[in-house]
Amino acid sequence: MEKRSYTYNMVFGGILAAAMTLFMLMGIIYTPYDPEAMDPFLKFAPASLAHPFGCDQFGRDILSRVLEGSGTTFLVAAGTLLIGAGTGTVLGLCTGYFGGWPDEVIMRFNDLVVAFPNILLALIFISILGPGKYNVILALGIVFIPSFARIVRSEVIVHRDMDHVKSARLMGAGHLRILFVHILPNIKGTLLSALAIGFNNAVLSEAGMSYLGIGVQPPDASLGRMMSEGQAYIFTAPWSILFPGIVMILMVLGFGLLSDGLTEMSV
Amino acid sequence: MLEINGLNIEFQDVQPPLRVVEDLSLSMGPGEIVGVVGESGSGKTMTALALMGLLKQKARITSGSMLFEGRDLCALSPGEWENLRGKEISMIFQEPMTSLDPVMKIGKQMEESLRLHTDLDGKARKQKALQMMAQVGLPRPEEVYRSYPHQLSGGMRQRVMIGAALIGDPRLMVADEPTTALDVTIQAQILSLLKRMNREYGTAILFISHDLRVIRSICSRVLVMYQGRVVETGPVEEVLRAPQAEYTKRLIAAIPDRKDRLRGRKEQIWRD
Repeated sequence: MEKRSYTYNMVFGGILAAAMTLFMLMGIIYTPYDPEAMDPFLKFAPASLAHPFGCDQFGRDILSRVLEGSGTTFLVAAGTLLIGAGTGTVLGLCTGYFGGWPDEVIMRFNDLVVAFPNILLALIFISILGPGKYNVILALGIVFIPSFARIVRSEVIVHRDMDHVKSARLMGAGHLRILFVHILPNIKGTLLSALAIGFNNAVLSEAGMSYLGIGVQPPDASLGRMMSEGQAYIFTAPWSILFPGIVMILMVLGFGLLSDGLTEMSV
Repeated sequence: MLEINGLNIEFQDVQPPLRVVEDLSLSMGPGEIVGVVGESGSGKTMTALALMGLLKQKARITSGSMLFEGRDLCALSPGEWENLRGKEISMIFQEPMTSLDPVMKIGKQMEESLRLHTDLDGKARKQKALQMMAQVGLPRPEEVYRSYPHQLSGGMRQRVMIGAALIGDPRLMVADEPTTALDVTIQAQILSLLKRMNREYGTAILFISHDLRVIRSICSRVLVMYQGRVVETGPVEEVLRAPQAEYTKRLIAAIPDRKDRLRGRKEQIWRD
């Protein structure tokens, strides 16, 4: 493998994911109209040059709301990954490397968490914490810990007894240095593709929760909320559900392909 | 410099405990090359691991002592071991293909023990690493410094390993079958490199191998191990000329002589 060749998945997924990330980030800092501004004269206005995605039941600009909603979704997904992947990776590194009874205890607890359906577990947390953007991040973050812990742990176990890790020990490297300098870079490929897939799952979970009304609360816009509201007008004003849906599909598709591409590259 | 006395290593997770090294005694002077020879499972590698403080939890030193420059190795704390490893005792393994971190640049791996044991800054470390690369006979050090292990051949990788093991100027290097995975011509090159480094740096080498011919070409003294016990010890030439133990005699008989080799060659030709 002298030169890395990029697969179709990698290129297409990478471009799409980058474009969608840009779109989401833009939603955080700029929207063409105030996403909350209502205008009775624009109620259910179809797509036009002034409002390319049309307007919703309150006459709000859908493009602005989709942008803001994507921004919220991005924040939730990123926060979820920060908590879930961050904690999961550290847990996986330690349990995989040191093994012994702490490994058993933590992994059995992991199994316990995995045994519940994700959305149900998130529901439990929300009912304790109450709904809202930050509670959704916390709930999803906790729910995401086990899968990352498991992925990282199994990779660490593979690398733990490899000769190059042993030679690092022989040079006098301590456990922390071995974990973060000699093992972590070796599992980067797997971790990155798990991150991309995790991002997707977070987006979909947030949308699912917001759709059920327990996720992001008004006045915050989110793609899931917009779809659940637009559902009532699917025949009179299909654009109010169509555009949030398309944006979400592109988002999930982009990161899904990127994850596949990363997996292909790491083998 | 190194004094091992009556060393016993046991696996204690089975009943009765499995004794893998029994009553091993060994002494090495500074700059000496001592060979340990024996078949797989004879306890060579366990001895080496004990010397590096890297025995697995289940294997224990049950009795005996290891003195390294007057310090009792059996009494070291994990932190003291980390200070000792790489700095005063280093080790290289059999498999140069897997002993290097595949995603770390060669230069960084060479510098690892400097980074861990000295206060040198990045520039000084690179300087030393490049010098060491030239010392161990790596061509175009600047280029190799920036390469990844998969870009190097097996022989080059073993040179990198030797360089990385010697860069901290250790007093003792344990070489566990360092040439076994290499083909014969590269083997000869690595052996002469080890001899040269031994001369120039004065690093003592504990050379572990199953191959008496390799031992003969590099060591001054040899220990023959069989089933965890030292069955014979003495200067290499003496042991080879007049083996005392039955096992040593059989080991020597196992070296194919020229006649066998000729016959082998003939068969080879027939098969072709």
